[in-house]
Amino acid sequence: MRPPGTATMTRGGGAHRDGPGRALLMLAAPILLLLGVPLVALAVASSPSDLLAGIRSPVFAPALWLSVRTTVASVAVVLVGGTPLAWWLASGEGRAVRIAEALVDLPIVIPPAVVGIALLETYGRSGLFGAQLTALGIQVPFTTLAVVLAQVVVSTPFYVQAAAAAFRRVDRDLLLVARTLGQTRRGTFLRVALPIALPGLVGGAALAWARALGEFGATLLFAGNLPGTTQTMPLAIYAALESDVKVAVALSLVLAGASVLLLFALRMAPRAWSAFHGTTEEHA
Amino acid sequence: MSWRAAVRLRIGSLELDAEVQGREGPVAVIGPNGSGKTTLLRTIAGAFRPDSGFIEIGGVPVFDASRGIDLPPERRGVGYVPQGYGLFPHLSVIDNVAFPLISKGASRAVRQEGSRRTMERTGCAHLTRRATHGLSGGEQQRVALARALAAEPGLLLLDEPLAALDAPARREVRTYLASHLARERLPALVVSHEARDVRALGAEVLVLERGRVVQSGTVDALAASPATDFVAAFFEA
Repeated sequence: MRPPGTATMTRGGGAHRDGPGRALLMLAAPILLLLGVPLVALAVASSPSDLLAGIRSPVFAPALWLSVRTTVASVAVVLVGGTPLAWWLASGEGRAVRIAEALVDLPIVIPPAVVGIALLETYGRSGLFGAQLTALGIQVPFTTLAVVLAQVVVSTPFYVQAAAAAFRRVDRDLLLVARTLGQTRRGTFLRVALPIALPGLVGGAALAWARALGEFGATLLFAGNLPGTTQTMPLAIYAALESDVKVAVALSLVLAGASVLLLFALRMAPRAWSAFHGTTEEHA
Repeated sequence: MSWRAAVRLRIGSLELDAEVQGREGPVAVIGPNGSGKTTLLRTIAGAFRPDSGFIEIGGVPVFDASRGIDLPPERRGVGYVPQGYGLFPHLSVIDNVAFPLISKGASRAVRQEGSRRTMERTGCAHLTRRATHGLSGGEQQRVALARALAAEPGLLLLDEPLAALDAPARREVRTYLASHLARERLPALVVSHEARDVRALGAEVLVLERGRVVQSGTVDALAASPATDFVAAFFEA
């Protein structure tokens, strides 16, 4: 069984009489080319042997491994901290909620380099918590922890916005029904709100992961570019560009490939989700 | 089994100040759009906290402003079926009906058995193996009612149970509701906007206009001497 509303999500094959005309397509084409052509250029820039050489270069493996570790850690932090925040934003009202919403949006509009400086001014030696951190013998800037912190700050908005939107789409009546059927606030969240919003949360998490994976500016300023410790994939591309363009291109291809795969998965997820749901329900 | 509620609260531009009560069997709430019918139901269910008043279900005070009593929805013993039925889309039909038993800590086997029995009792055993998404409006209403009954509530709150149905389904569910509400001998507060539905339920009627009760009584009494233009128009058709 297909859920109602699926029809509106799948695009029909037939051309509508009131559909877009040729003129509109002409106007839209340049920007599409602007987006697509560089990716094609990147894909054809290196031969398979160049790509292999890039992957074998000494900067590749440590940078990839660091990117994997730090993004997994930062997405975990974003999920654990961002989910309750999103639920609060979606179910609360009043001035505090609106202020929190604005705060969540900030890292999207603030340039990453500025975020990096702000993080330095917070955790750096002469920063807000500098004295306390130094006294405890903890150094944050130019460590792997700094990489994770920078990724968390820049990627949180992407998850929280998507999750709050998904929670807002959960019918309030369903929550009241769950309560009257004996569930506590917590039970209602876990058994009703969370499963219904889950596709939206997964989409938000994927966006946050993509943003964390691509993080460059804040990381460079706050964590530096130390191979093995803070040199993630984007920073490795930046470093490689100065010595060997081919390595930079190879690294870029791998990063672009991972991102395209992610986008593909994101596009497919809702359909796979409803297919999965259809089958579980028919088996139940 | 009896229930009564006298509540006063303000939500947006609505000022609700209503007193209602009932025993076994349905009480119908009628009134123009925005008169506070749904708000009254949701307030009794525990979605809003009244500024003053009390709510008593089956002799148990679930809300009393003067005594500081305010039980959460899960402890009020109400079965709420909203407009649109409120079925959980991520659960199968049987898991929807079994949902109240989860809260009681029943094992999966007990839940399945319990919900199967409820569905037989409420005449929807044939829907057990269906997917929630594929149910018609009338079928959803039956499953929603079965689920509410599975929680063994002291008061059923039904918001426009027939509004979204086409004419044949409406006739069928109307008969179904009337017979099951009579058989379960359960107190119920039913929001309605059609005289025919109110008559079929054999309900006492309460008329809400701009948050206040303007008239109450039997269908015949209201039809004979309507207190407002709305009541007159309601029973005219």
